[in-house]
Amino acid sequence: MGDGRSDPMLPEEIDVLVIGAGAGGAAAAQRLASHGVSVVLIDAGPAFDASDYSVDVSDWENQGFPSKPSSQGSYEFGAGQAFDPKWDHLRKFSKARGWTSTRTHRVMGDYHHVRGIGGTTLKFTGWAHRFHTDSFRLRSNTGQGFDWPLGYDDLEPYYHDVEWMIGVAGPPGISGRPMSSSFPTPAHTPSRLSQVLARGAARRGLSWTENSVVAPSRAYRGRPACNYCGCCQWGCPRGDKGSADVTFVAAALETGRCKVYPLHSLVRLERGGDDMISKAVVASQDGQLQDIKPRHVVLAAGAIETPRLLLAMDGLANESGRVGHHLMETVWSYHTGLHPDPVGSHRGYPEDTICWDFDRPDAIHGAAGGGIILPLAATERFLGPASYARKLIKGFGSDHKKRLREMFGHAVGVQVICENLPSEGRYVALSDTLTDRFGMPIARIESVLPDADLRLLSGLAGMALEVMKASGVDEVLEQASSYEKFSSTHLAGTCMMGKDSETSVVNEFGRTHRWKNLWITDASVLPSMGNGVGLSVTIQALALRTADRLVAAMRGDD
Amino acid sequence: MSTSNDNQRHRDVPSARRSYISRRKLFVLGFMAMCAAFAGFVLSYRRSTLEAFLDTLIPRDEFGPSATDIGLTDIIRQKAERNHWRFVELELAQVWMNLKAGGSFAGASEARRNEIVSQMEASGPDSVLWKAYHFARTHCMTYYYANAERATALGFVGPPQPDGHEEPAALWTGAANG
Repeated sequence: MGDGRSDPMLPEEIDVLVIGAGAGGAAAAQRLASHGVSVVLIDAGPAFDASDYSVDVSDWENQGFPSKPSSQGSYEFGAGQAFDPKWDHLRKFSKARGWTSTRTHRVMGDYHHVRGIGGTTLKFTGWAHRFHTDSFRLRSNTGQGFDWPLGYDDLEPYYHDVEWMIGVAGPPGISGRPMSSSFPTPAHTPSRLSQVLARGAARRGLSWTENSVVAPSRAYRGRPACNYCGCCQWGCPRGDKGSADVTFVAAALETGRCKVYPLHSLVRLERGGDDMISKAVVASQDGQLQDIKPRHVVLAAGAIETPRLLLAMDGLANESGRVGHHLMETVWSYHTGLHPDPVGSHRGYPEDTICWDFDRPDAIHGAAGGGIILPLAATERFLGPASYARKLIKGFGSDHKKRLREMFGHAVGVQVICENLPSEGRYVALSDTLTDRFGMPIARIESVLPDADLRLLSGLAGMALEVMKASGVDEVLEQASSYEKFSSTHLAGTCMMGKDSETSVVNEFGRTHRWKNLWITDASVLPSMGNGVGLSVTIQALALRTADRLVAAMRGDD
Repeated sequence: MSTSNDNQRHRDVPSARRSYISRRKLFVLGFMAMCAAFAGFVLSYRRSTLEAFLDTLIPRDEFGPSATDIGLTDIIRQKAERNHWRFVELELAQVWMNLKAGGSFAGASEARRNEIVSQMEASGPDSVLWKAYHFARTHCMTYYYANAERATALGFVGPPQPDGHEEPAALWTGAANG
């Protein structure tokens, strides 16, 4: 990928500086550039290309998403909550290992992210989900959480634009999400694993349908159709997966008005008069600082880094005191067993089907918010024999070898992800002791899962287990959940949008309430989690909307 | 062998001093040689125990080579040496395995070795033996099977790319119909 630079130095005066080249920043940069605006897109992480990914090497299963210098941010965790025996059925176990967790406190483990051009879309599986129309009115519907300051209809045209930019493959329609046109490519044919689960779901009276995902099922805009290697989380060497680098960033570069600078970090935004940001200080990888004077700044560093940067800059845009609050995380569980018949669990698009039946705020009695159930294969890497040998086949010796030969391809797994309501015990703050190389405090992630979250997770996990059993899997061999360990892929809500400047950080267009030329377009602005669906398409739709509004502001139309 | 008189004479003849070895030096050298031999024996003993352990986990049989056939011994040892606790657990487990086998785990029959490793597997998550067993098992399985050649024997043809896994599209009959 060319980065559109002709000079290693950033231009001093530009229209818009976009900070963060993940889902939101890339989409905003492309849209802005397409409007004729000059854009500089920086990211603290590196650029990746096909040669970085190791899905075609002999020991591919020992690989994962590649680590490169600066491709991970620094953060620390607060203490994990003590376990409550009433939720023991959500604890981790592995029958192949003869192990059930005996920990006393939740492990604060991982924040799964990638810093770099494309951000975490580089390693995601690629659900392309719109939020349900009701998800925009969570508080009105449940009395909990927050309503959005905009509705589904406001976002629908932008959803359409995103889906057609990235080449989504999906079914003709999805309940609760009226579409102005179909997805650009048809849904992927479900794998055998998905077909087995669909039969189980049908026996329980549940629907199980094709999922919408970011990899096209037909060649699309110069990208090939997915060939079902299943290794989306290793990084897609073919470029068929619609990660932000091969879609929005590539399109932004094509305009000739966007320059992309990997390995460049924001160090400071300086406040000017008239509630405007007057200057940005950006550091290159070698630590050289450069001042630039953008007319507007779009912050899109993600739900951890965006509040961290704002808080570290003396609480910029934190007039409400809500920056870093309302952190929402991925509340999930997975359950895996072996089916008596081969299901080819290593073949097909991972998570190519989905159960939408609980995608509503009253899905589980006594809990607010809904969730989704999907097949599980890639997420726990049941794509090759090594993971089977370690995690699903008990024992050792020739018997183990024989059993592995018999059972390879028989893994059946289900996973549940559900809504996560904001909680005062969950937020992002600044570390008291640790700083980055520029002397700015790193982020501290605090997380507690209250009973309301666990009630919802418990109810949905029970449904998922019923589907598994009805599919022909009698015994769950392995289980894990976010109750045992903070291990989050979707994080959101830390610079929430809202109408009230006293309780939110940005308005419905992503503009900070006070600073006229400071905008935010990443997961941090989301007021709710859409019942656990994939966030990237919604982040990108919001980013396009923000970009349109920003251009209108530049033209004096707002 | 030199005498004390010889030593006295040699002190007067510097050029000859380099030609002879004193008893003390000879003793030191002899002791070092014994230590080296003993260390070699211990290292060889430890290595043979570890090799026997790994080949009990993944033996050579009609399904393929053993763990040591493909050189996993050094990989597992290096993995252990990177983590102090894992290293100590693995060392202690090997001492225990040898004691259980009556002196030499490597010299025990296959049935006896299987019995001893089964005891490790059943010893419970808090025990050193269980931790050593799962440490070795996890890494053995990972390195052994994360290899396209051995995976091929399981019907998995090479790494996932560049060919992918095209799947016949005929089986899907529609949402929820199964």
